[in-house]
Amino acid sequence: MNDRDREKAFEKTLRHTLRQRPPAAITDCPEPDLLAAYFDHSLSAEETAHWELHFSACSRCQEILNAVAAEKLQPAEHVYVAALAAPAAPTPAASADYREAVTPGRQSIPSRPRPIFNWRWLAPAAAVAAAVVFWFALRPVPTTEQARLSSDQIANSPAPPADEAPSELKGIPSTRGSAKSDLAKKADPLVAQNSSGAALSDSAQRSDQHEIRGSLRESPKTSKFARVKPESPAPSSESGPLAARVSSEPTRAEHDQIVLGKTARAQASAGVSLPPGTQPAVAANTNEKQEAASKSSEQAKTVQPTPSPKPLLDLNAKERREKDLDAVVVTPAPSPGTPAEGAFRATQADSPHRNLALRLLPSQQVSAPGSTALWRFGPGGLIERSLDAGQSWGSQASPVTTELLAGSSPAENVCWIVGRAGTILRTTDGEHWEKIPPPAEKDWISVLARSALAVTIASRDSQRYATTDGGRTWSRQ
Amino acid sequence: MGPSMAAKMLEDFLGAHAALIDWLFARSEACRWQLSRDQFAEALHRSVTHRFKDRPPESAELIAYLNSLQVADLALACACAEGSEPAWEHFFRHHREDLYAAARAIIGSAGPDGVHEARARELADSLYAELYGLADSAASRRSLFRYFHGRSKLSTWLRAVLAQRHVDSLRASRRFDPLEEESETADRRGLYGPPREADPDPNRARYLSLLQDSLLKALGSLAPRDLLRLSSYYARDLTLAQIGRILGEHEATVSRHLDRIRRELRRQVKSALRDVHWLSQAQIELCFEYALDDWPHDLSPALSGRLPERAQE
Repeated sequence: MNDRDREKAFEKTLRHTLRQRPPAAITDCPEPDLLAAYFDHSLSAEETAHWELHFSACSRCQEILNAVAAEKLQPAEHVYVAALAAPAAPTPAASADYREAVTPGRQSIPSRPRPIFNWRWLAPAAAVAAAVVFWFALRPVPTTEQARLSSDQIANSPAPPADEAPSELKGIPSTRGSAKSDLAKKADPLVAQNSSGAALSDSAQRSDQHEIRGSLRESPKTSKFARVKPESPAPSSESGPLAARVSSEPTRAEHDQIVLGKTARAQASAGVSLPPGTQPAVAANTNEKQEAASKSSEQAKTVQPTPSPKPLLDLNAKERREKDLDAVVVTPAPSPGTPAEGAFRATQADSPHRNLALRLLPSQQVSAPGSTALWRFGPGGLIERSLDAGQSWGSQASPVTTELLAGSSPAENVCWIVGRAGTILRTTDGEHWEKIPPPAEKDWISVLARSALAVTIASRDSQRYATTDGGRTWSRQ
Repeated sequence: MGPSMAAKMLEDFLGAHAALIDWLFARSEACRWQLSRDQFAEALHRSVTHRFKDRPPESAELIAYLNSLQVADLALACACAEGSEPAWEHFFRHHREDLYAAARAIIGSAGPDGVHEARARELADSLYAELYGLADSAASRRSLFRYFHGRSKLSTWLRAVLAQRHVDSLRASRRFDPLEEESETADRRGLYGPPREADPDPNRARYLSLLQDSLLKALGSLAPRDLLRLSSYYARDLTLAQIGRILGEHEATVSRHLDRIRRELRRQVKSALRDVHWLSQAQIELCFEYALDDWPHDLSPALSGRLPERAQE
């Protein structure tokens, strides 16, 4: 007796046994209300199990369910229109459908249907997809140094001479004139500093640069902004394995805003802060932008989330930038060693400019479960806290200036934040941050905290460490 | 439960969940049907009482239940039951064709002008009188809409009502159909007729009985949904597509589940035959071999009352 015969014998036994089961009492049958709820999947799990047990032994209920299910074959309009249009000639397909629905006859062996999508391919397809996702998660992300090098290509691209500065700049008062000359001065040392000539390795970074360059070529009068160093890569290009990295992945709609944020960061690193009117979220009306520029200090005090972004390569970008230059404000020069951080520290000194920078730079937010208190953090060791669900923010003293990449808050006053170069920070009172000795000098990209003492962190190269004593000892996982 | 008790329970319900009722009332847009808040709240209370007739619900459970209701449909049904003209107009405009389409599908005809079409119209139209409400002894209408509690969409409920009526009428007519009865009897005679005298193996019936007994025990361990899949396929002869539509699954999924269940049952049956009934491998093979032939006995008397506990619930 081969296996197929055994299978047939077993099926025969099954059929015989199931048909001999005593039927359920009709008095126990559910009302139409429950049948409909079962059909709409709105019964609780307990009720569903109870009634499925009844259905399995009740031929009446199965007939009713089958009749209710048959309706789904033909939408009302289809039948109605078919009835009006061709009363004597129903479509063969429809007839077949109906026959299938209401005729109890069927094949005797549970032959496998031929689905449109062969599920056997699901496993290898899922494996390939997982491999691609894994590669994306672990692929090397360009470091700050690489990002600096990448600016060389932009810096080496032919820039218009200083004489070709926007005509609006020529006539403006001395501060704006100094802005123009400062731009040229600041750009050159940066170019000289980063002229190692290393090739670009990261395509994403290259595309960002391309976008920036493209936008600047749209507006040659502002091309000096291209001679500045872009910040380290945006956190959105990094994907961590833990879920603690909240709101870091940009949606497609946020992408343009991030690109614009990178441009703004580049401007900020050159010591130039743009007024709020240049942000993507402000009204498109240039008059409004100018008004906003005149009120920049008042507006910058209250940082609000930026809503819908505008595309970077806007056709009106040139005209808009020309208008925006009227409101250029010059901040102190960045420190020569680390231009980006220097620029950020310079903005930190000036609250409106700092707030403006925060609005332009990407930052991440975390909150404790069930709490309205939020933390946000980002480049330059920035840490801010909001106690009113993000309506207003207060800055907090940060012991580091490295970029902070991920955070996790298990309780209202407890938060862990990790970042580049082995940065691990913790607060247990919601106010004061302490630096926790890391298990290794790595870029920590994910953190999952369970309490003030227990936390798990993950590095870019997928190494995980956990501590249960607040960071005194770490165990690799 | 006396009327005063019911009134007190309704009062308690209104007092305890006033804010939620207000919110649901607003969400249902019951004002469109000139339905008052009290009428709507009463319908909600009726639904809650019907759902939790066995036990009083906990507060969180009650709130979750109320939030899960199809309140817009409940308000429409409630307004129709109250005789609101705008509600009836809306019902005719939006549900009449659905009702006819459901009746057509249930009757089982794609032809628009055949007998089936007429029967479908008749089935759907027969519902209207009851939906509007038949006058009872107290000269007040008792609409069928009062039995809609908002746990499903109104259109699904209407289909279920139609299907139930149609199936009941079919089953009633089957009882008086002599041909079917006779053929069934003939089938039974053929299938479960007297045991063959020339059975070569006197243990044949015993092996089959053991096999069926083991299978019943294994069936008792199945999840209700798996049991429903199996009985729909093997006992009711529904197609994979039909089972899939009932369970909300693709037919390929149903087929996969059936494969899985069969494998699991076979494993359990073999294990029971070997470990419980102490059959050797050769004897187990014999069990399956005999099962492949016609079943000589009607084993139902031996099996009645021996269903596993779970299946008898």
